[in-house]
Amino acid sequence: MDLLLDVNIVLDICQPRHPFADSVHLALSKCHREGGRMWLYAGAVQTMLYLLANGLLDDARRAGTELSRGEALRRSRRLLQVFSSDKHWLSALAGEGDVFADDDPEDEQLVRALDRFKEGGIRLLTRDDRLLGSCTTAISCADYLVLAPRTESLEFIDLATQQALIRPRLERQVHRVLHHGQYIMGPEVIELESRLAATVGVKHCVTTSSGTDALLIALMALGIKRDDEVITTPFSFFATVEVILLLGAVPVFVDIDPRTYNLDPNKLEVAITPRTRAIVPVSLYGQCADFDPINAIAARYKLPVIEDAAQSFGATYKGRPSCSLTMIACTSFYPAKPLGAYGDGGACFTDDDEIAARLSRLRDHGQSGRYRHTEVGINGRLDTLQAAVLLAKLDIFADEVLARQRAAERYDALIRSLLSDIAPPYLEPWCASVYAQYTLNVENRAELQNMLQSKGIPTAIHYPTPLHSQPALGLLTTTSGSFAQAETAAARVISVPLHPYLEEATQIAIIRAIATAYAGKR
Amino acid sequence: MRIEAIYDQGRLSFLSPIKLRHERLNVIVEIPEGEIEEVAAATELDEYARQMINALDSIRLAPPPLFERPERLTAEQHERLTAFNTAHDR
Repeated sequence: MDLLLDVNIVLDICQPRHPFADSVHLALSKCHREGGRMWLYAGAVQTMLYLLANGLLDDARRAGTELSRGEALRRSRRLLQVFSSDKHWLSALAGEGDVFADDDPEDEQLVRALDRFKEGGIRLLTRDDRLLGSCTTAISCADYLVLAPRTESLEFIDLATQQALIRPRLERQVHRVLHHGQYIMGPEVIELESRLAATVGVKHCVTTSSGTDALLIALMALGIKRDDEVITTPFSFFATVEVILLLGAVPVFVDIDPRTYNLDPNKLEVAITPRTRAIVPVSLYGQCADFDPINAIAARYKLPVIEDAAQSFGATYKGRPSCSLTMIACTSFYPAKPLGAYGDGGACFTDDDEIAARLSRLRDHGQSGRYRHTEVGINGRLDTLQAAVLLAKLDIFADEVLARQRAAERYDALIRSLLSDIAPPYLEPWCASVYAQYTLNVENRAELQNMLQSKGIPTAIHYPTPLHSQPALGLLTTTSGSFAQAETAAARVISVPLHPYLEEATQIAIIRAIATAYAGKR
Repeated sequence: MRIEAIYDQGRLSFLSPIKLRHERLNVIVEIPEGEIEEVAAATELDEYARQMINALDSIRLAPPPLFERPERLTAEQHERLTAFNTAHDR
């Protein structure tokens, strides 16, 4: 549970004021120990500063020591700087300005600010009798100290910790958009495209409203049309095949390598026919497909390759970044992705000037100029607000990728030492995965999933049904061939929590829970 | 809730009978100024609290800079210090 600290609580510690300081320290220690966040209201900075300076002057007077007013103010600034260094700043919003009708405007600001939090997720720690009597969220140190700790559920992906880390930048970015008002194709979209292209090392990035739309316009840019064949994997999220079907083209599946779950290059060539127009390998779970042999085969048949990099932005293949390996690459900024927005988003990457220009037109209703539609496109632009969010997240993305890889390495080591029935995910020696998912291959998956759920450990199945077995495909087209590896994978894969802020203790608990489940089977 | 109590050799007794929900809890006690001989350091504070106390003490207890000119307040800062001094205790 989080705590919003009233000014009196801050002063009790910073001045310090006895006898209150000790109980406040105990309360803050409890919050820290239980993993709660401590918030300071940004609108109260001046009150904190000047009341603290006056408090220091009073103390000096009582002690008969000399302290100038300037020195008191300087010390107050320093004390508050140190005290706030491990706290979070809660911004003062416009709706918290009009509080003058209230008898105590400052208290009213805090009460209104609390309204933003999830019910039961925060308490206002205060010594103010009026607040304690009138605000149900307010709590004294004494009451807080005897409050039973709230058991926080383990998240599959922890976006809250990331948000706390980037909140100042995030708020500045979002507010900037609210002020300039260019909600469609605003300056943040242009800046994001330029930074994403530079990150990947390609000439062009064209952002889109989702990863699905990125794939759709990539196929459209290549001129894929009815009855064309597009080769792809049967083991992916439905969007991979959905966009092929939306264009009236025919998906031709090539089974996966059972170790990487990516399209098996050894099975690719036999699937190519005179009607084949493109190859769409997916870099599943954050590991790039084996693009060197795939590109070589594609080149022999003069076929374009599109990397479905929805899960692999940030990964590398033989030292080269995902999204720079093929004629076009498409990624997704779905919130759960390694680089995720606060809504849908996606992007196409290419080095080809003509394709980039076409992608730009296609995502904007096929417009080549204002209200001049030279072809039929889609409404597929990325919202400026989502671009603003992504820019804030991009600043810490490289560090987050490293943190993901470290977390995966910790899982690998734990699995090797504690589990004899399960191996860590296979990683090709030339790949650096971004670990969009940390996926295990297990027997008795449903049983394991239920047991982990009963222990509060969330898991996910990516994906329970191979694409060729999806009911929608039965209606629209038929596929032939054997996809035994995809079918086996669909029956056995299970993903466990992995994100940049996952703590080692949690990972140990997860792997121990799996070990216990398997020990019971023997 | 404020309630009167008598301190008698380490024990507090409420003047009016009151039933509390918990066996043990923290309370704040107001002690008349003249009664305090010495305040001993709290023993239950953990490492997190101690680190914060040490960091804040090092600022509070540091002597003012000897060779720097004392920081001069602007008129606005003067005004604010006075204004906030009249505010109620928090």
